[in-house]
Amino acid sequence: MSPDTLHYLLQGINNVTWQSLTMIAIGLLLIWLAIKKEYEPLLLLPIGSGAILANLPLSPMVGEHGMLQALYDMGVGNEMFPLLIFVGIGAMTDFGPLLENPKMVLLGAAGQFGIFLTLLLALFLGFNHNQAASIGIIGAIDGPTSIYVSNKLAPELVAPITVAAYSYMSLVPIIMPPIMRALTTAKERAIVMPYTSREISQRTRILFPIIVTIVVGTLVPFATPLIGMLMLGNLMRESKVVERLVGASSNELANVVTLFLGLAIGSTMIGEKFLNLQTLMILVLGLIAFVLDTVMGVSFGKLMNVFSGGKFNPLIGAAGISAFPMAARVVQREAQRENFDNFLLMHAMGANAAGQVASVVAGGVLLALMGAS
Amino acid sequence: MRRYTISVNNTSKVVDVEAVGANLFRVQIDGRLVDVTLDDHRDLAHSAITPAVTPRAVSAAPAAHTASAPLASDAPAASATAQGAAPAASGGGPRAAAAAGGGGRDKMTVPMPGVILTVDTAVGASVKRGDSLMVLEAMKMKNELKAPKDGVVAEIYVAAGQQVKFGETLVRFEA
Repeated sequence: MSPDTLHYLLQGINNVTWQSLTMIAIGLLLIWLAIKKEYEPLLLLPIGSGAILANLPLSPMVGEHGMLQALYDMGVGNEMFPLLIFVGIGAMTDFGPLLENPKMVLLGAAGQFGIFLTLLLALFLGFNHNQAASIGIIGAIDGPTSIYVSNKLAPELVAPITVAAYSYMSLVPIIMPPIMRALTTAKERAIVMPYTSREISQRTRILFPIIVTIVVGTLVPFATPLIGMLMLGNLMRESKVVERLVGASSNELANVVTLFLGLAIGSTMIGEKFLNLQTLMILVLGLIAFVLDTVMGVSFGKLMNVFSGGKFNPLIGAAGISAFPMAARVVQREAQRENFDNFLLMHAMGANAAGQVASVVAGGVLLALMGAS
Repeated sequence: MRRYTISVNNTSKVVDVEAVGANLFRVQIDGRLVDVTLDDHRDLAHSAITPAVTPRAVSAAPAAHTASAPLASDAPAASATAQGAAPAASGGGPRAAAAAGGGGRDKMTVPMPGVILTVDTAVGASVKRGDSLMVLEAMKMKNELKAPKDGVVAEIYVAAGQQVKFGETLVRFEA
């Protein structure tokens, strides 16, 4: 046996680097979070697996004809996967609570302030314009929007931004409540808002996605792909005539694409590129974006409380983000801690659905501001 | 808003009913404004409740009773008590009487539309304020519905798996 043979047999072990070992550990951590803590398992499990597969020594999964690379080229590099996921989200989202309560749009807008504040902070920390905007978009708290925008502006940051966005999204129930409690008094949290039932006609439900697409698409052309796909899914849902397409988009398509997307994103977490100060800063800034969103949302809720003469529960403001429907549930849970007879869920769902649309619009605005092509 | 012209003891009265919420109405009777909460929201076709209007033309009590007449035609329900006004016990049936005694909270209603997942109590069980009685799934979220007051469960109107509308009565209590 020549020394060469030994070399070939052991080349896997010889190519182990500390970075790849660290990345494999991070991949394992993500998988652990997914399985043990059930933090967004649908995404974190594939991302973690992708990271491990890509960081194994001399991994044939990445590189020119590697499967993970192929997945990346197929749908992440050209932003197709996040858009396909949006079709599914649209098919799953019920905009009814928002249509019942159109003023919630204001809260959806307020929930996006974190994006722009974080953007400024990132600029201050020395990121360039495009990178800062991509980091800010974590504040939209919307996975597909974050992937879409960051991939257009700063493709090198897609992996950390995606990991940050999805990790924090799954931490909504942990991050938001302390902030909500700190900013409101027990009395404000106990404000009871009765459910106002208003029948929304099917005609309105069908017109909503069409009109939103046309209006938003005209005002913010960069948001057209995102809003167009989101509303396409919703139009199919509300039309009630293409149940099969609705089922396919919200189940099969969304699931398959989620798997591909997770693996592809995970494969971009290559040690040499991922392990640096930048990634750490992005994770911190993402958290700040999240906190700022909640702060601005609740503050705006307090403002609405003043204008309504004390009848508006400011907690609902925290639901004006895109994490649908977790944010609304957190609001409901917090309100019930004060008064178990208080059911804010439908109001919060309205704000939450508005946040979903608003984050897409914010993504488009950001792209327009950065002059992306 | 709906306007009803009704006759009570051969005197005609104009009653304006404005729906503020699903079970809260602002009723104007001959210029007097009363807030009326609709306590019951079930189909009472089989029950003996009639929108009885007793000729007792003093204080605010008649207001509550005259109000119940138009409400009956508005919703499939019959008994109504006026908030703040002293409810007389002649509203009809035990439900209104119980409402009068228990400050109008002798029942638990649906806070938002959804599906009842489980019913964790039984008729005859004595419950304390805050005890979880059933689980309502709304917008894919499970919500515990808790007893609004101490009492004994007298009647349960829903079963697990049933779709419920806002304002529907779920449980009636006895003090």
